[in-house]
Amino acid sequence: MKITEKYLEKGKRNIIIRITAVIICSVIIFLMVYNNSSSYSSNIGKIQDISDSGTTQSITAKVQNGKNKGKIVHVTNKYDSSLVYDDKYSKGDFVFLSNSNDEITGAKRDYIVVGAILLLFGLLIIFGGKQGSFTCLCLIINVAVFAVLMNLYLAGWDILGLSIGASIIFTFFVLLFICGFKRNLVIAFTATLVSTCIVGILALILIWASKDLGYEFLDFLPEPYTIVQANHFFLAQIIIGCLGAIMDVAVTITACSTEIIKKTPTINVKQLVSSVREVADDITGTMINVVFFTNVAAIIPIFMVSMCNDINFSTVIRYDAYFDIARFLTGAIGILIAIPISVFAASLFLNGGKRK
Amino acid sequence: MMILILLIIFILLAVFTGGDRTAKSIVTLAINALILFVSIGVMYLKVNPMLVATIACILVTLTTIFFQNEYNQKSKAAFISALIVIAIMLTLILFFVDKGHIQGMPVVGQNHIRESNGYEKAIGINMVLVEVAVILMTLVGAVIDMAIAVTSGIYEVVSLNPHLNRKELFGSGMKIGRDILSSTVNTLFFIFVGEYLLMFIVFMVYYSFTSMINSKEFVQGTITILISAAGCVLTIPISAFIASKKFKKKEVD
Repeated sequence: MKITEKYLEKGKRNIIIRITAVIICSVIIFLMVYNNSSSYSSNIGKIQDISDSGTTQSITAKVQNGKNKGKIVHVTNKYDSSLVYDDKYSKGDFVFLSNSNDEITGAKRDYIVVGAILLLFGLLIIFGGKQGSFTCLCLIINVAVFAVLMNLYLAGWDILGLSIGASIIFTFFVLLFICGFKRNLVIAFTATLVSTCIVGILALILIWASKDLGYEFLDFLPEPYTIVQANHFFLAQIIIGCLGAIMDVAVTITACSTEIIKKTPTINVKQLVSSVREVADDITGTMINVVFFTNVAAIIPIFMVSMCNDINFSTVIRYDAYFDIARFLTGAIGILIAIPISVFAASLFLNGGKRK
Repeated sequence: MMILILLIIFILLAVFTGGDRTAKSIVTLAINALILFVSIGVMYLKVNPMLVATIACILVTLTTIFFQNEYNQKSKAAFISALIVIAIMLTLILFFVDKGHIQGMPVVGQNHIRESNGYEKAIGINMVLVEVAVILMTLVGAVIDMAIAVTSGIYEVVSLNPHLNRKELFGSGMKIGRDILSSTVNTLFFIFVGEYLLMFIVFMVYYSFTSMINSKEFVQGTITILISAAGCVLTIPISAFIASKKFKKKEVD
């Protein structure tokens, strides 16, 4: 009894230490980014005072960097109340100023992003335990891999080839953090790659077969582009987009199959499939919902602006939302394909290992 | 054309490879899609977008939890936890959208919805609240996923080990949540990277890294995904707490 109490006490103290450390680190990092104006070459002002008249703001700002540091400047900002393209500023905001300090060129948002990253990492470390810290590490590695991909793209590599290569590396690191160096890693890795490959080939056939893809509605497509380039970009998006969901399924199904095979070594593939189907049934429904909302919710503002400009709902679906819906469907298909492939991979590897 | 074929493949796969509940998930999905599209229509009628999104989220939670997973102790606990997380995240979302000025249409990368193309900008809908709606709707799927996993896990543990006390149940709930945390966060991360792959390229080619991290486009996407993931993490302790309390109270009675 005393031992458990001691253990709990120790656990409690550890948690308090961890929370304090996380909060202190977060505050330090946030303050560093919050006050990083001097590292920018463009002029930055901090808004001291605002007087609104109608939809025009008279802003008094204090310059934060450069040779005019400390100088008080006056600028005006006009906005429309819907704020479709404009911003409405408030006291304490940091804004970028033009060279002559007479115009606002945009809001400074870097500290907001950092704040959100710190919030996520803090929650992961406090509530996520060991796995949470691993998740942070895994995300950092993935971002680093992605940065390398971007630099290779700038050096002239093809985006589709890069994305396929990066997907293999992504999969390896994510699964390494989730499964550890075990046989499950090999099984889940194989299942993920095979499933992604199938989804990729399916998307490839459909993209190349349909000649009427309205690429002018694919946001951020760098111009000018040829159809082949646009196809490569779209396929790259699809492959990376479905990767996470497929890995999620592959890990769950592999873990579950391994467990079943370990407990009943005499099981045959057919029985294994029917037991795993129960588990798969539990996770697919909610996972498909996750993929749906994450892919499609971002389209709401486009609907608002378009519909208010007399473009009807079905037109927006057919053109603007087309690529988001296509990405959602490929992701959902990926989830469904990953289930049988993971079961098959598990039965193949585990039985093969035993016969030796 | 492509969407139609994908849709047919998706439905065929769901019906033939999955079990009953996978087939049922097509119906859930259809209802959820309907909720999303109806709420877009209601927002267009100038009803407060945040209010619409909140109600839509509650409806989505109701369908996904009670229709997909039947009405029982587990789903009741999951529902309460999801609502608490949504309420907490709502205030956080408002804060981030307001401070970050991430409302409205992207300036870079959107090639046709522009003022210069004759699009009226005075649309009479507050885009700040629309952005709140976007983040809320992105978040809801992942929160439900996590809440169901944790509460049904605790339920399983309780029925196998009825002697466990509330604290131990809470602990096992946390463990269950942590085990699936990484893959859920990664699912969100890769969808985000896929969606914004082209945005990164545009910024790296035509602009700079510093202009990217201060741009509305980048911050919109990043905040959305970070907040969704944060909501997911927050769901673990909340649903572990609710479920351990709920299942244990019944035991005492």
